[in-house]
Amino acid sequence: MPSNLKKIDFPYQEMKLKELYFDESYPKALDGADTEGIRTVLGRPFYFGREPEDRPYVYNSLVTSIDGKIAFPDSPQGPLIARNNQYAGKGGTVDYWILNLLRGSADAILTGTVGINAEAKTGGTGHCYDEQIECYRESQGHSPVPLGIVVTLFADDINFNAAIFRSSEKPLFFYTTKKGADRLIASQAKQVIIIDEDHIIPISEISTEHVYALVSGEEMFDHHRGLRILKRMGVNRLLVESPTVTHFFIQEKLMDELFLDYSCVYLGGDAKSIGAGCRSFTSTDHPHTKLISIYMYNPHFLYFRHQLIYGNEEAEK
Amino acid sequence: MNALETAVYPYDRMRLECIYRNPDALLPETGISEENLRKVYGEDLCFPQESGEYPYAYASMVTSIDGRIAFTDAPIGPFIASKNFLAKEDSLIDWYTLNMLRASADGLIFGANTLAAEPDGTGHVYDEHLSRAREAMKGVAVPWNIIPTMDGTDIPFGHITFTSGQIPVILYTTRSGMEYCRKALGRKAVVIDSLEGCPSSLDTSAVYIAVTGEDRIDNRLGLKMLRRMGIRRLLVESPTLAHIFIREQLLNELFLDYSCVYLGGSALTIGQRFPSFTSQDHPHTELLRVYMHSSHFMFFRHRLVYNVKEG
Repeated sequence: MPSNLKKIDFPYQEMKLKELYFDESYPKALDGADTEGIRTVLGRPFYFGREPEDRPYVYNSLVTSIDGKIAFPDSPQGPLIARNNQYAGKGGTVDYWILNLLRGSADAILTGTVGINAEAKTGGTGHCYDEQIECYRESQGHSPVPLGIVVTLFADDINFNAAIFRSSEKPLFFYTTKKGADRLIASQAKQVIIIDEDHIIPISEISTEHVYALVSGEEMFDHHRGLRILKRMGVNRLLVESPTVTHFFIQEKLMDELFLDYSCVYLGGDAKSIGAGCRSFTSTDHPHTKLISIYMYNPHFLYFRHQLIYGNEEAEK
Repeated sequence: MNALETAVYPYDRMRLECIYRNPDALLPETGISEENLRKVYGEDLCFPQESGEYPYAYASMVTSIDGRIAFTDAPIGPFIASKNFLAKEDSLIDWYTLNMLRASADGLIFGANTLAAEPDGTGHVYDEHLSRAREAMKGVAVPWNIIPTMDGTDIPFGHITFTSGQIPVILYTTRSGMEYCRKALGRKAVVIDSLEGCPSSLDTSAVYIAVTGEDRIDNRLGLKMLRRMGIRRLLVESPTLAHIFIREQLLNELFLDYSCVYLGGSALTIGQRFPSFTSQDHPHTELLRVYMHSSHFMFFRHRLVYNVKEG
């Protein structure tokens, strides 16, 4: 049965998108989700192409301005890039629905503490608010709610007042280091269960009775190890909601797809872009992408789906 | 006198597919009309009905999928296109697009640092066919090169732009900049220091110095002066100037070529040295056209919309 978490009655008929481009060579091997609402908005079911053997298939979800900005400096909540587009009409709702589609298609959702802190007052719990998609998940044998995972290096930057940590239906699950796990053990009232390569717990056994700490490294993240562990737990598809983690995963060649919604506003200047504060890729070594699909709501909002392609040698072929 | 460099391109392999054409966009004025342009873009480049006291200003840039306009280790704008190793003809189309926009413009405005960074580069139309079409339409092949400078000290006056005798130049500056430029030019310059003093047509053999303010450049006055001097369409080639013009609501369109590479991190974005727009006050845009050649590149044409308030 569906979860008791809040749902939104999305107006699918008013959210219909125009498909400007779709790469028909994209393999339709694996369902992401297939509901009446999805077919109404996208005009087709939502597929994924493949599942790697040693880690989850990883994708993100972000909305950017036309100049690649992901937050206003005076009001840094990501969704405002969509919501404060006054010409968007239901295009902003579609942006939010796509996030829900991507959440509902994932086994787990990885969120950063910066995003949680920025949106602590919104009351969002990071689940899929589309009931049709939640029901579809269940029909496919998945739990109605994807596992929410919070990334924290040392567990010293967590706002436990945020709604995402107070939901009775969502277990507390952290992706951290040994140092972060030690801090969680010292600070949490509930028993903290350590998950590492020697101690794997299947995703179906994760419960709200405990707090979980996936230890991917000692004092630094080892994302390859972390994703291996998630795969062994049964996480086949992972949604990354943090722009900074997106950048780190791209650096590690662990990100497979980018879902970039394109809100026709211009910010310019020093507003935040993806991976701000981190090292950029160079002119000789940078990932490429291939467009899988382009949808349009109106001339003020587009929706891009990119497949990442790593390695210049491969690219030059 | 050496002829300016020209080129022809494999137009048949550069044909774009227009995946979106805004039905509400009225573009009755021909910017440039040329046979190969119609092969590449499927139509001539046209603009809205001219109106007002400013030139119709549009900017051209190529960005990565995350809005970056230069690599940190090689900060040359065209690399965002040419270092897309999957792009094939798309990076040529990016370059051709710049030529198309130059061919349609009466003047190009770019920063003095472009001259320093590109000792051999000149602001002309490299595409032979577009250049000829421009000459047939406008009577001259080369658009006015308009170079803003606060005090003139950043201008390399030995650059080919000043020495070739083939590039018509307007220095766009302050009063102190005018004094410096007049001395440094080493040739006679025509100084224009008021709106009333603007000639209605320009002599392409002369160098003009437009004084747009006393100690600071006043872009509103400066662009009005340019319009009076016959610059009806202005191509903005500097990302920083594009941002400044957007702040002053002087930019009408953005031609953004979208190269499917990812840079992330601290790589340069548009207007990065300046404050951003806020959540309550920011320009919006409307897409006029979206083109594709391969699944690794897109070409957007945006119209800027200002003063859009909540609700």
